[in-house]
Amino acid sequence: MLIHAIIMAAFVWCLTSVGPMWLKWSLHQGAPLIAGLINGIILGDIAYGLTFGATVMMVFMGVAVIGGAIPSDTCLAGYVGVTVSMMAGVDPSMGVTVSATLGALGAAARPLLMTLNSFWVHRADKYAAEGNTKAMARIDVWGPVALCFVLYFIPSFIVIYFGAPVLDAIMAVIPDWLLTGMGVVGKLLPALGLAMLMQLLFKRSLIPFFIFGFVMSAYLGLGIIPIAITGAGFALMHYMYNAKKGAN
Amino acid sequence: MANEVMQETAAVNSENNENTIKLQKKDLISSWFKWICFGQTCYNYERMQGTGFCHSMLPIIERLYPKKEDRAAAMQRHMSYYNTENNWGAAVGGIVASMEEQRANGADIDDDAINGIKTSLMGPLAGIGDTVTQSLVKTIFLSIGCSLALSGNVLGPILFFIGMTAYALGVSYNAYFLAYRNGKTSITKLLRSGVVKNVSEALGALGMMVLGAMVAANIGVTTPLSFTIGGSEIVLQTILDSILPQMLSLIIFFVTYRLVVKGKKPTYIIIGMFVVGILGSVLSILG
Repeated sequence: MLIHAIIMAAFVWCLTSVGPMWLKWSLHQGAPLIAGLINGIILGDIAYGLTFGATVMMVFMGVAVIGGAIPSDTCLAGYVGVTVSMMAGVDPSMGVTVSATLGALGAAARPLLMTLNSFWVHRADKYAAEGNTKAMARIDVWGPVALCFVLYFIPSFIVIYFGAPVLDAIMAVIPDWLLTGMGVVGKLLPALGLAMLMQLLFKRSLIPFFIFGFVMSAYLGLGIIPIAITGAGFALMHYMYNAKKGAN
Repeated sequence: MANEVMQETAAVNSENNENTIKLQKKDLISSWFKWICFGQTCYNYERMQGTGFCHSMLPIIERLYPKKEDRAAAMQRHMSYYNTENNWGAAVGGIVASMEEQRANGADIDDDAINGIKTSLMGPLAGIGDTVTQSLVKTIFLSIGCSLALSGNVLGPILFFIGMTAYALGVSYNAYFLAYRNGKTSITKLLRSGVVKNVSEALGALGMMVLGAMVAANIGVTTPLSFTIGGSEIVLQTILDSILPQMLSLIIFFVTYRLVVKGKKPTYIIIGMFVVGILGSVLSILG
């Protein structure tokens, strides 16, 4: 439990600071999905982890990080929210609530981090004036690492380590009718993530493709891979058609 | 005239003249890799990715400027405000590396020229990058990953991880080296041509199709309502399914979409869903 909490808090610590940018696209922005798998492995129940991670991820899917303005911290929702809920062994729909709450609270740390990081910039300015390349590289990396230890690692660890038993105790006193209701809520919540995605993608000319996808899944019962491959075919066709139209 | 010739032939010169300094492949790879690793490590309100960009230029500076005061000047030059998209924005690093190389070999490129390139390209590249990476590529990989994971397939998260990682490394590497070799013109040409717009449209088509499939497969709300008319029991869900499978999911999706488009806060929508879900379950309307 102690090591489990340390591992997950360390994920948050690295991904908010030194974690390579090329890994952040999956590990940070897809945090709930990845955290579900990792927790599933640690807890010895991969199927639970997969369902859990994907359910939470669906809600967060529309949360795009355009221009650095994050309405909710996906990283904390994943590595802290999913971990706490899975440790307590709750239903994925309950996990969504826990994750969304922690994600929203955690988003408050972001402006603080970006303000405080300016401190290292002034140190870097000094090294730049001296032409000291080694010190410059050092401050650019280790400054934020130190800051995120305080700002992210410690709070994450505390929430995971002390939060799981609390959540467990809460779950024990929740009546059955509420649990059943939560199950329905869990089915409704993905609609939010998908609606936010639609908002990002929406263009009049793309409506037909939505219909194709829906029909292929609802009537034909095809899985996501064949639909995505067909979609790639349509995308190619759409591209060639548009390119030709542009050339004329 | 002299300047133009010098700029154009800087690369040729460096092979003929032993006094010139040429960037080596490993410097460029190191510069690209430092950008794609640490570009946003010290993200801050004052300069955004400013220190990250300077960090990525260090291998270039170390190679080109052996003298301490030149190094200091170059480092200070790259500490300015900078903010772009991680992957596509790597192109700016490539262009600046080639400009620094020419400058170190005597070409007349001043600080303003370098800063001008940075500020004029970071915005448009961020625009493209945010659209293509965030709302298209990420969406598609994430949708596939989530759908597979929901059906209990461990490949879901793994495919998502591999896909996004390959995309980030592949796009940034190619952007950096394309821009280093072909300079500013290659990027402005790409920005001006309709290619990027058409590619986004095409990826949008794929995204919408996956989205349609997910609406059908991953909401899955049903109703347990049934009526007894004239002695025979009629199950509402069976009737709905015979008209349009997943009709309830589609309705719920469009209601939510309307709320999102109207600008309702996600937090309120979540609260609303809790009320509707729990009430619906208690009253046996939804299941």
